Amino acid sequence: MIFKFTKLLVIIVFSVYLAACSSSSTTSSVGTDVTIYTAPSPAIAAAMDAGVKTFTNDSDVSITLTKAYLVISSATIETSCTAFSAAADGLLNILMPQANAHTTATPTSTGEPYVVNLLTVDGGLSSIGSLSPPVGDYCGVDIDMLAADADATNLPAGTGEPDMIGKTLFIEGTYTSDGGITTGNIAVSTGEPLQNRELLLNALMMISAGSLNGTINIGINYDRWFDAVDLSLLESESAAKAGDNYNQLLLNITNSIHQI
Amino acid sequence: MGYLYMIRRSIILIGCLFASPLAIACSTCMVGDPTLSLMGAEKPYENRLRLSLNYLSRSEELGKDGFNKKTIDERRVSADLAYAPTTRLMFGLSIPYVNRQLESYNLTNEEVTALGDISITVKNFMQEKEFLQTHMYGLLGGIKLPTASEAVDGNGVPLDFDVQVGQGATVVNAGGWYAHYSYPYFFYTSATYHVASEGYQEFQAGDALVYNATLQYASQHNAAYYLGLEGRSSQMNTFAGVDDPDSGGTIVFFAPGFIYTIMQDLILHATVKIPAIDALYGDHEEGAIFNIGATYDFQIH
Repeated sequence: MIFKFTKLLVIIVFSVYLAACSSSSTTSSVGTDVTIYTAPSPAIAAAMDAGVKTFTNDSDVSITLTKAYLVISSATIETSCTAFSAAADGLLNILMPQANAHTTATPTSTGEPYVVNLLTVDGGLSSIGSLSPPVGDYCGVDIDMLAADADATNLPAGTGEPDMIGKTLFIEGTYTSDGGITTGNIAVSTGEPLQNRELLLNALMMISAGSLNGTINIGINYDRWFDAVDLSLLESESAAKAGDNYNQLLLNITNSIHQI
Repeated sequence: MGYLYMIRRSIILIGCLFASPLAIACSTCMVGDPTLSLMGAEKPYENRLRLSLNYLSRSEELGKDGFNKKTIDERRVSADLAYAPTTRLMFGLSIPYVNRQLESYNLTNEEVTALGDISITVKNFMQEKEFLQTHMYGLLGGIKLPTASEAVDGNGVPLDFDVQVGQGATVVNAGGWYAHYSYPYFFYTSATYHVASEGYQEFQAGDALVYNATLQYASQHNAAYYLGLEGRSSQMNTFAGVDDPDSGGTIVFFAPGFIYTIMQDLILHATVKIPAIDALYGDHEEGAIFNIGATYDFQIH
């Protein structure tokens, strides 16, 4: 008799188990979130609307930009910032092999390159990526600028727009100096990597259980790109890539990145 | 020596027959071997049907502390059915119900409880003898089906892959096994190779070789102790074609356990599996596995 009960009990248990298998539950909690934004942000010139932008450099040369694109390949938030400095030092040795900007995303680094259009409205923020980092006190952000690949976000499209795949920087415009006596074109296009910008944040960004979210707003002082630069040497793409003058332009671009 | 061994086996078999009024129906009597066996290691007889309910708990850690560490705790109950239509073939069905909890470096906590991936197995018996076998061997095969649904959050976004109770992939496996019955000793070994299709979130499991060897000793008629080694050697997994550096490698568990007969045809078993050889790639740690279960033999012959 006991064996009959055993069999019945086993069948009941099995049946209950099968019935339980039909139920399911899911729970999830929100984790950390840090979003990094960029915006064109003139340092001296008055803020301008979207479109062609005109300003003067440190030598009172009037510069008009008709196209200006810069690739931010990744932004990495850091908890150790002893090597970070306020500005890049000296002239660059930019003899680095060309590399495409598709790094792997990590909890502290965006992995998808973003093409910044410097001719959008000044101060208008655009997200270049979101992170979900571990808890910590973040003191800086390391910004890399490498050539875009086909997976880059915000690639220019439309008639007359440049193909930014394989490029880090593209500038077109004109300049006028000596009271209008001297005029010329500006044509800069390169796929070479720029020196990365190790930007110290104005204040620690503390991510914790009580403070899950953070934002970092990065401004680009495009109106300082042509300071101490001989614009007559930037009139064609091939001529532009020459020596210290070109290096100064690239250094100015790296230095133009700051927190707003 | 072989003659004396046969006499001893026969005495034990006769003892089984007289141990209980219903002993003619007992499963060990049906196979003429008093060896207690877990699911998958039993001797078949025509229309043998076994049901097992098992509970398992385990945990693992992936990633680096302070950067991308995830801790996964899993508890699993599975109902396993084994049926032998003949003495040469045995089919198995495993229905798991799984709870997985994930604690992530970014303070995300996720938990899923649901039906897991159901497995079907087939085992064949190629030895010559049909009864009172000492050596047995054959082939194994199986398929794990993507019956577990992909868990999503309130916005329909899939949860982390590591908290999912199933892979979303079909996994087939094939291999062989060998068993040696010499009461009170019993030895069993098997090895199977597993290949998976692509699963959820563009996950592709690496091919894996799963193997084990177990030695069992029956201290008395209704109790046995065993010591096993269970291992897994696998390739790295990939997500969207990119290697997951914290996956793959080799791990071998040291697995002591015991079997106890509660009553005729109902056995209880418990095992703890402790990592003995840990050669997993990257930042990947697997903890001890605890397993307890009960197996019942239905008398349908």
